[in-house]
Parts: sequence; structure tokens; C-alpha cells
Amino acid sequence: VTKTPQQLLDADLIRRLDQLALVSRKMSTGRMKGERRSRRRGASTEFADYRNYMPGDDLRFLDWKIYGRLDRLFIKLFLEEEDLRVYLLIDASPSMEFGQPAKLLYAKRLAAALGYLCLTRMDSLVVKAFGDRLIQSYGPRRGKANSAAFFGFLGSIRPAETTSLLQSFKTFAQTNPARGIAVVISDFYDFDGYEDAFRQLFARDFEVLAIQVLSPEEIKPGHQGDIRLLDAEFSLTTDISMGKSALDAYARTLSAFCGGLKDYLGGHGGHFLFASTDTPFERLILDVLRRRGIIK
Amino acid sequence: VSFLNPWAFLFLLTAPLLVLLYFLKLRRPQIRVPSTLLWRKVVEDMRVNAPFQKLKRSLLLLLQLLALLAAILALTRPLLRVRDHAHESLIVLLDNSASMNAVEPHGQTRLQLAQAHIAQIADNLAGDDEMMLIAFNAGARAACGFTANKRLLREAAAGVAPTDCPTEIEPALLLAKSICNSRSHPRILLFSDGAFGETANLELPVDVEYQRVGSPRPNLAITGLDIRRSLDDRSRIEMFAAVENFSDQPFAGNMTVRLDDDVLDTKYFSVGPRETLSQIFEASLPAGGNVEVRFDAADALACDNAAWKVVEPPVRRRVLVVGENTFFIERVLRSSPGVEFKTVAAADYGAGSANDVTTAIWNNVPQPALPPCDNIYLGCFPAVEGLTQGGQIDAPDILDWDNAHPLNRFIDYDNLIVASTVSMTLPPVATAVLRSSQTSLICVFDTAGGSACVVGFDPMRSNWPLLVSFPLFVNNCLSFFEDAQKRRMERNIAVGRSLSVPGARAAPSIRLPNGRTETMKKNPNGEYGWADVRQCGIYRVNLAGGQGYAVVANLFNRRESQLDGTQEPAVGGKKAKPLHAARETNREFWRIGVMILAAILAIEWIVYHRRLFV
Repeated sequence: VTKTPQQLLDADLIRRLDQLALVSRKMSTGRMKGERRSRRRGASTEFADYRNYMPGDDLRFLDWKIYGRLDRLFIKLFLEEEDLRVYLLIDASPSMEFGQPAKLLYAKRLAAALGYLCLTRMDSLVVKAFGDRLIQSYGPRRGKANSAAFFGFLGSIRPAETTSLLQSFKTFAQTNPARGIAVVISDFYDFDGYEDAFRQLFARDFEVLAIQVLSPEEIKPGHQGDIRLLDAEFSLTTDISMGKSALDAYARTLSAFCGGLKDYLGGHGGHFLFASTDTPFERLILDVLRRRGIIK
Repeated sequence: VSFLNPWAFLFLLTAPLLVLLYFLKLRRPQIRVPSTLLWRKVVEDMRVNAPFQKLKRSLLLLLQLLALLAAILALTRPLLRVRDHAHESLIVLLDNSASMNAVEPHGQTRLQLAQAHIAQIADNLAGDDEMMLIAFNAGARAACGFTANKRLLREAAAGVAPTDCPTEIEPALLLAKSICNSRSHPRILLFSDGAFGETANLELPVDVEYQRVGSPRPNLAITGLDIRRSLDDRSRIEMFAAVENFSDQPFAGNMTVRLDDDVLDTKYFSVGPRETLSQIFEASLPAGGNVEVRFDAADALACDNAAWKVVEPPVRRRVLVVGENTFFIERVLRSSPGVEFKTVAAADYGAGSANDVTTAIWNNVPQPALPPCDNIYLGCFPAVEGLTQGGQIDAPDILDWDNAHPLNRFIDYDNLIVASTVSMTLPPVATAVLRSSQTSLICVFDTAGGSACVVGFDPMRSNWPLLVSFPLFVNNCLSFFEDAQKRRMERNIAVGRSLSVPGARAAPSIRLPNGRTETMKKNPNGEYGWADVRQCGIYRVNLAGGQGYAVVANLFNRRESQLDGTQEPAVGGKKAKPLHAARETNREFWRIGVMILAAILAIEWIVYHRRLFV
């Protein structure tokens, strides 16, 4: 369902998002001049380092004061200010269609907010929707003028057939060599696991932020009795006698699953955020994300 | 266990179907979830953490199979022989007759075996059951009334003393019958060796349960003893003892005759299997005395190994012959020792003619009288109720005679030829001792004043006076009458009968065969007597004036002496059924099957829901 910006983000939230920016903990190298410090040495006013003068260096950057004290020529290096490349990877697998509201909608709104921040701060925004592979792509774009097109893209995202994090992330990493922040919004239900998939991102030095979106029905299921569970993505069934013990076991398993994901990401320098779709969206953006230091 | 509807077992064939259905399984509601990734882990974890998970599933199947079995069990309508827990009244009849004194191979008597068995039954009485004990021999008495006190019952059983009496079961059955009518759930248990023969068709309210006691045992018995004074010398006695072997093994030994502890004679004897030996002794006995005949063969029963007889001192017989043509009779009487006689014509017979006469012989006298003495009627009939004469029968054949009867002792009627006789109808009390094919020829019966012997034909119209059997017959009559007189004086009685002392003014004492002395008590007739004649032997009655006499009691009962167990008892006209340990009844217990089914279903429901909520 196509969502207008007003449907994904209300005007008040958009107004408040104008004051915020996505935090990147790594200095990355952009393609264009921007508002973010870069690892590259450039012409900004931000001092970075000294190095010995080499013939051919721009004499404007000689530090004459040191030459006067030490009688040696040093070149002053300054940080380059470049744009930040932000990748929003949205899981559009069938499992994301569950919940009330649907997890996919919640993920779109989340992506809309984060993407709007990026566009506003002149960051380069790339949006990818994936299922068993990358299925839809947007960007790179920068500038607030692209926000309408961005919202339109989000609204056009259609669910895929199945999920393959590995295949999707592998393709993504190969086709997007420019490092940046990779925000993955997904439920991370993949029978092949998430470790190999994230390894593709970490290997290319992406700063990974994983936002796990789950619906309340998944967090606390209310099924009872002998039931057969049908997998939404694969033709898999599981017979289970749902009782207190089974529900307790599920709670433990879910907790272990989320905790395992968080630990894995933390161990590799990534970030993890758990979001339940019953959490008010504004609170998640303006409160939770700010407290977690993801935006400022 | 039996089944009223065994075809229901065919439903067992549905058990495999049930198993199949179970595994094909319940239609589970299908619920779509985003992913089964975590649920699969949950299921794996639960399987790992709950090793009884499979068992739970199997438990449900097992419960369903059990429910099916319970339903099939109920459908088959099973029957079970169960103890009827109704309040039972056990009436135990214990035979303590002479045959129960037979010694079994392991040394116990049959009575002791029965007592042990009854004590066992008493010990096993259920809480609400009661039992009573009736001991019976020639009579019956309650040894213990209804009680649930096991100690009392054991003591009562042990207290039933052995006797030498013959068995009369009918009094015991009548007593039991009268008790049955006032009790709920009565049972009659009979403990006996079966030596009571057939009983009358008593209508008993319940079947008699019979426990045979003892095993076939060899036995030799004195079944008859007769002593009479010699015809030639009244100071001598002749003894006739019948010894019968009731077993399949021969016996041999010595038979000794004693007179008041003095040995008169001893003879060696041997008797083959199933044979009867007639042993004859002669001895000099001018005065009276108590004669004991005993043999020393080792057999199972002791009380029939001896017999006793009281021998009276010789008495003078005074005979009155009435009638004409009494030559042959007078000749016989003249040759008989110790007999005084006189003859009168029938026309001369008057009311006082028979005074001081012991025996009157009426020879072909029309309408003979019946004086208060012993009488012999030859060819004539006294006016006795039940005795009638019919038409004349010419040349009656001699068919049969009772050679065991004292009147026929030493007599052979083979050569007797009778020209004619009259048809005779006997009174109920009479015994025919000689019969033709058409009618009885000679009979004997007791009258108010003595005994009477009626010869239906006129001896003068036969060759009998010329035969040796005629004088023997007359003398046998005289001896029989003498013995009958003694019988009336109750000097020789059968064990089990009561003993009375008519005319005693003060209570006599009596010394029993076991040496104990007791004082006699008055019986319902107002005479002093002794009702407990339960042992064979000599009972000495001591009258108040210092006088006394002896009475002997003998068994002489072939049924009691026959210990080979061939008798098949029948009680109340029906063959007695074996003793049951307890009253049993058929009880259907399909309801139990239904209850089990309900219980299993309840358990299954609980198990199923525990899976859901626990």
C-alpha cells in the first residue's frame, strides 16, 4: 500500500525530525562534500595531523610556527568533511506482514523517519528492500527535496516470497562498496541464521544498526491446545501442544534469540535495537532512539 | 470367569483401527505464524527437556486402548463366581456314629478328621456368618447353637464324643430343616463317612453339602450272636456267632468266649474276603451269666470286634397243647428237654386253662383263643387285627424261607410237601419266615401277651410231622419265644437305644462299659432309664435293694461295619453335592467395566488437559 508522507510520518514528527541527525560512530569516507567528518584529509577547519613536508606539497599548509621552533618543515593536515552514506535495508519478507499494525508498515515508518533525517542532513541515502534477495532499491539521494520520492518508494515496497539474509546482504555488500551506516530493519527470522549475513557487512566495514521489529503476538503468543503452526514463508509445519510449558519455552527461546543477535552485533561493533510494534512510534523515534544514541 | 456375550470380543479387532486413527490423528487447528523458526526450537527444547513427552503421547494411546478393552469387557457381560457375602447360617451335621470310630491310616479316627475340618470352617467364618453344630448317631442333638464365636465352635466340635451307635440321619435332617426355616441364607454341611444309606424324601429348603470323611478301610465284624441252651442238656449253652469280612483281604485270628471275665473257649478262625463265617461254640453254663465273644484280628473298627449276650438261667417251659390229633406234637414235646406239657381238647379249653402256661400250641382249632402267653397256631388263625385267611390253595410250592430267622435255625424245608393251605394276609407287624409263591406259609409276630407263630397249613395235611424239620421248628419256636421274652425284658439291646427299668421305685445306678457309674433318671414314661446307651458292652443296673442285673448293648449293624466306602449317600432323595468353601453365586460385573471405562476416560481427559495447561 502506498503511503503518503503524512501517512508514514505525521507533520509534527517531521518537524521535530528536522532538528535531529543520525549518529555515526565511525568516520567514513563519502563521495561528496558533506557535513560529516571523513577519514580523508581535506580542507576543512578541523585539524587532523602533521606530516613531513614533501616536495610538491601545497605550501599553504606548512606550519610556519613549528618551522620557526624546530627548523623543520611540517605540513598541517585537516579532516575532510564529506557526506555520510546511509543504507536502509528493509526486510520485506512475508513474515514482516504479520502483526497489527503489520511489522512491515512499522519498519517502513521507522525507515521513513531515519531516511528523512539523512536527507535533511544531506547524507547520502540508499534504501534497499530485500526478501530472499534484494528486490527493490532507492537512491543514493541526498537533500530534503528527495523526501517525497523517498516516501513514495517506501510505500511501493511489496513483500517478497521468502527471506535470505545472507543472500541479500552478500549482494548488497558487493554492489555497494561505499562504506556507511547499514540500518537493517527486520525480524531476522532466517533458518540459515544471521551470523553469515552480518559477516558480509562487517567485512566491508559497514557500521551496522540492526532494528528487530516484532509484533506483540510474536512476543507473547496466545495460542492454546494442540495446534499446527504454518510457516508464512516456507511450507513448513510444526505440531505443538500449546500449554504453559510451551509458552514458557517460547519466551525463553525468543529471549535467547534476541539476546544472541544483540550479543553478536555488539561483539562485532554493531548496534541492536528491539522494537515492538505496540511501542508508540513517536516514542520510539524521539525517546528510545535518542536515549540509545542512535540519533541526536 | 465366564461370559454371557463372548462374541463381543470380536470388537478387539477394532483395536488396530484405534491405533491407526490415533496416529493418523486429531485434526489440529492450523495457525499461520510469521516463522516457525523459534517454534521448532521450542519443540526441540521441550523434547529434550521433557523425556516423558513421548510417553505422554503413548499414555494417551494406552488409555484409549484400555478404554476400548473396558468397553469390550462390559459388552461381553462377564460372570464371576464370587462368594455371596450375605449373612450365612451354617448348620453343620457331624456324624459320630460307630463307623466314625474307624481308624484311618495315619492313626486318626474319622471323627477326629471331621472335627478338625469343622474347626477349620469355624476359623474361616466371615464376620457376619454364624454356625451351629448338630451331632448325630442314632439320634441328633445340638452340640452348639448358632454363634459366630469361633472358640466356642471349635470347642463344641472337639467336644463331640465318639459313640458306638448306628447312624440315623433323619432326626438330624429334620432338626436342620426346622432350623433352616427360621434362618436367612442357611447352608447344611454334612460331615460323615456316608454310612447312613438312603434317607427318606425329606423336602429340605437347601441342598445338603456333603463332605465324605475317611477312606475305605478293611473291617471284620461280629454281625450276629445268638446263645441258647442245648436241647439235650439245659445246663449247656450253644453259641452262634456270625463274623463277616467287609474287605477284600482275608482275616484270621482267635475268637474267645468269656463268661464274666472267665475264658470259656477259644477258637482259631479265618475268613476270606467278603465272606461270612458262622462260628459255633458250646459251653457248660448251668447258671446264667454275661457272655462275651471277641476276636483279636486287627481291623479298622474295634467296637464290632466283640459281642455280648446275657444268658438267663434255664427255665422250665410249660406248654399247653389244644386240639385233636396231637400225637406228633406231643412226641416232639416229650423229647424236648425241660418241657412240661399237657393236652386238652378244644372243647375242654376254658378261660383258666392257659394259666401258668408259657406256650400254647393250637392244633387245627377253629377260632382259637389268644391267651396272654406265647402261642403256636397250626392250621388255624387267631383273631388278630390284620391277620386274615383267604381261599384254599392246593399243593403250594415252597418258594423261600428266611434262614437267618431263629425259627428256621438248622431247618431245611426242601422236602416239605403241603397238600393244601389257605391264603394268609399278614398284619403289618408280622414277619413271614416261610413263603410259597402264592402266600406266606408261616409267620411270626408279637402280641399283647407274648409272641405268636401262625402256620397257615395243617401239618397233618403235609409230610412235615415226618420230617426232621418239624421237631426242630417246634423247639426253635420255644427257644425263640423264650428269647423274645428276654428281649422284652431288655437284657440284650442294640446300642443307641434307651434302657429302662420298669417297676423300680428308687433311682437305680448304672455302671457303664467304661467303668463309670451314674444314677438313672426318670424318662417321660415315668420309668427310670438310661438314654445314653452309646457304647457297646455290659451295663450293670444296680437296684435300690442291692439286687441288680446286666444289660448288654451290641452294634450288629452291617452298615456301620462296612467301611469300604462303597455306599453312595443320598440325602433327601437327592445325591448330596460336594462341600463348597463358601456360598457362591454368579455375579455379572459389566458395571465394573463401565466404571473402569469412565475412570479411564476421566484420566485421559486430565492427562490431555495437563498437556495444555501445565
